[in-house]
Amino acid sequence: MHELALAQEMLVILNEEAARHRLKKVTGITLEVGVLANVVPEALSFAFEALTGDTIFEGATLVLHKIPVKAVCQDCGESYTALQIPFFCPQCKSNKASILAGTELHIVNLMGEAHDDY
Amino acid sequence: MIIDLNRKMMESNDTVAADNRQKFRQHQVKVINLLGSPGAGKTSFLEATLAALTRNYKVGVIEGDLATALDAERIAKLGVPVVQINTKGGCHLDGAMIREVLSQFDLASLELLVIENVGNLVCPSTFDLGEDHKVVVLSVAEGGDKPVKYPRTFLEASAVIINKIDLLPFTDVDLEALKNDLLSINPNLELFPVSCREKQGLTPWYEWLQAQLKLPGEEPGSHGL
Repeated sequence: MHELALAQEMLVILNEEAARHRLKKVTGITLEVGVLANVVPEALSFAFEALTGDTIFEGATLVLHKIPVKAVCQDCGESYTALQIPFFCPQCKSNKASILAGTELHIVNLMGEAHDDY
Repeated sequence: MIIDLNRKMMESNDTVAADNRQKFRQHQVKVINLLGSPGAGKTSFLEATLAALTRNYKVGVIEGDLATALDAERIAKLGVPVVQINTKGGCHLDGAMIREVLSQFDLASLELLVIENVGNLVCPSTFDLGEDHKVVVLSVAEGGDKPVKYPRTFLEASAVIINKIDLLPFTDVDLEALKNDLLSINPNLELFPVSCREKQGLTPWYEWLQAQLKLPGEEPGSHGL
């Protein structure tokens, strides 16, 4: 639902980087998105596409890597990862967990072509 | 060519939020970001809190809504300085929206600023506003499964107000199971079961809030309530 705002935030950074590296075309962007980050990949791609028509980002592919939840079980101390909600300790099945990772929203890299004079 | 960036997507909002936070600290204003679904009772809860607090504390309020100034009008009736932000359909407040309205408050004279976010259990949790605490209002009428369905919002909260407990007999919600689910997501949560309508259970919340408002070196309870 807030993917449009996320795409706008992302484009602030992408425009800055594209200018710095004198890119004339961006063909792909790799993202890392935590399972708990509340992002619907299709909605993010749709918003990105809607915002980037007639820009150097037009047609660029968004590749989203899911970052699993990293948790420590509060009952038995087991560390584990989970790729979806709800998650349970694999050792004791408890749902009480301290969460260490899984809310990330990172731009990992971008693929593009620079102007010839770069 | 591939260019490695490794940058946070929320960087620009986080920067503005950090500026807001610095400004709040400089003026010794504590800030609460009040979150919850539409109809959870955020505004009623805020009205009850303000009625108890404004005798002894200087409080300001920012109201976030898609449209209308209905909530701000309710708060203004209590004699509290209030600014309404209309997001015009946007599902959350962001750091820049808060920054824009801060000049409408005399921050130096405030002790607490409450920001009532847009009614939504998903999006606002991604956007830092510069607050000290996120407080979530969750009503038992919404059903007991909301914490496990929307964990992110509860993961970063300091306190959860479990509202409308006067309606418990009419719902299938098991209060103890709900508390258990909340603590399974975030063991550090403070939980306050209340009924704003019946003015039930609010005292422990006031005490918690008062403890957050204590300045370094100040005697506990020196303000009174």
